[in-house]
Amino acid sequence: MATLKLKRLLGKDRAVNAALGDLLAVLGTPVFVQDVDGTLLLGEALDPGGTRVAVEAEGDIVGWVGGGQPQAGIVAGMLTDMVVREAEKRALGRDLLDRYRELNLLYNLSEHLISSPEPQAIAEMALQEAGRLIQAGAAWLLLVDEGGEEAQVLGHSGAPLAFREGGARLDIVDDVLASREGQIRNDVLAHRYFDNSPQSSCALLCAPLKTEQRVLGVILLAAPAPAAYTARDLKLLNTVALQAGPALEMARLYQIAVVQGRMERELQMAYQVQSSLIPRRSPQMEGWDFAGRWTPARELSGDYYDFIPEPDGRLGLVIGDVADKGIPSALFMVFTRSAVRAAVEVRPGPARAIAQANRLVAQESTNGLFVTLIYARLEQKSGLVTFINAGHNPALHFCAATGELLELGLGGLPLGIMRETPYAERDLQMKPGDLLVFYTDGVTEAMDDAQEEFGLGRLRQTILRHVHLPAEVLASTIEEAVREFTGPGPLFDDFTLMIARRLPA
Amino acid sequence: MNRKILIVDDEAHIRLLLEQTLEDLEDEGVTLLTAADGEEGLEAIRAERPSLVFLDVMMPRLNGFDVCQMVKREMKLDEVTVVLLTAKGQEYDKQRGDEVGADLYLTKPFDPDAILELAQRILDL
Repeated sequence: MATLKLKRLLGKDRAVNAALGDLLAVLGTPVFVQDVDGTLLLGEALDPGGTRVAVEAEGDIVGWVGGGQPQAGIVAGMLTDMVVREAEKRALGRDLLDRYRELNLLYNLSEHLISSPEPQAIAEMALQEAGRLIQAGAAWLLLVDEGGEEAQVLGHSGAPLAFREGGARLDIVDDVLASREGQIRNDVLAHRYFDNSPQSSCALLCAPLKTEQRVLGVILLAAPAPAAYTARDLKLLNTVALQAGPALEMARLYQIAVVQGRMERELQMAYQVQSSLIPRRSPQMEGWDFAGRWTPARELSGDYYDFIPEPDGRLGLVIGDVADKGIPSALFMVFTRSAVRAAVEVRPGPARAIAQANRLVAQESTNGLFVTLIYARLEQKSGLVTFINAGHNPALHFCAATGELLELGLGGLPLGIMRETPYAERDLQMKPGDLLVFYTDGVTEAMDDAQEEFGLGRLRQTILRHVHLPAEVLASTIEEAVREFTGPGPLFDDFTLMIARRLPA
Repeated sequence: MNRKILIVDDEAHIRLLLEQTLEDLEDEGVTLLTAADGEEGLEAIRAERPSLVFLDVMMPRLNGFDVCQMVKREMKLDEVTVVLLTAKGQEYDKQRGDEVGADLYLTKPFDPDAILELAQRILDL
């Protein structure tokens, strides 16, 4: 702040200066004006050692008027009035400039914050702007997690004091987080807050970063001197924090959206990889008609079905369902599919192949994941089906001769539970016109709005009603019946279905 | 180089702000002068020959472009640095500014620190 000098005041306004000169000339007695240091400003100092009247402003002498009395006193009074008015104007100007700087701060912040999606950059900018208007030896921007715990230093600047990180939480930060109001602590013991502080005491200023929903953290300023911060400083810091808080939240949400977008793309790719493992079309085999359906409830599925060609015109049919849903069960499904295929290759015969597959799966199952599965090997010409049911929903066998729909029950534990598990094979003779339906629990346990399950009963009815339709059409009919039952919402569980029909002779 | 800065703006609060911003320069011997419109500003430039003039563009009577035109093109006072001030949102006609010989232009609200630095640089302080 520049000191007020009479010389400057008179030099500034030429008209006033001229009028004052004229006034001195007509006073009839010599009067002169000196600056505070005695420099002559106006008139002629005929008697420099004579009586002088002081011109004062804000308690300070800013100049002198000498010469004849009472004229010199009158001029001094006039000048004092002028100086006082100038001092008032300056005070007003300072206040205006303060407001103007605040306004500028807002302009700068809002302009920059909106264009910045990086939390780090926002933190730096907020601290930089705060530092321009509020004196601080050090500044930090701290974020807390949703529970208000775990403070993270997102940004700090000019830190001659080492902030006590990880140690006891700062009282002022806790108070500000709890009250959602900014606070000033002047004259606090520095060592309570800072390691190796060269000062015995310091002043702290802290404002909350908040959105309507929650407090995200605080901006903390420290001045290495007691009684440093004023209400105006707090107001300014609050202004910065009010802008930075929502900007930080937006940046956070933006980053989440970016990550989610990436994850969605990755899941989409994983879905493509996984669905490429599901048969694209059903095998063509003389005298037989096959169909399959595979619809994941989410992006990825723990269900699968497979057709594995075996020597001598045999065909392996597999349907599997890994416990649980989502990515882990999808990975487990992929592994199971490979294990079963590998086992069939080296250990012919359903029981031996599935026992081997179980060893492989059990060896890898670390998270308590297991898979229920049916392996059915059918012979094209004879219609003999040899199958294993490893803890899976019973397959349904439609016997054309009797019109009955039989359930093919259990024959062993699911894969992945016990490393050495015996599996019992069962044989079944498929006659022309017979039908086999394999399904996962996503079919029978599909629910309607009232939480009622589609159930085995409805599945049986649907099959019996449409039993003579081609496999593809029957699969679609079952799918539609389930969708009609559940309504248009998303599937709760993966939906998998496989149909094998021996064509009538 | 003389150490005079002239502030020409019809808005009293802008004059006050600029004066306040540059106040500290008074301690280094700089004289701050003000004028409340274009004509008054032109008169002050003629009489005082300031080194630096902050000149508002939108003013009654003579506008900033006109004043600048007279100073730079007619009076040929190249040694006077003219900084035109325009309000934010109000499109600054850069071509017009170049034609009339303005040295710089700034947008209001201005940054007080930037103004002070600018003045110090131009006055070689």
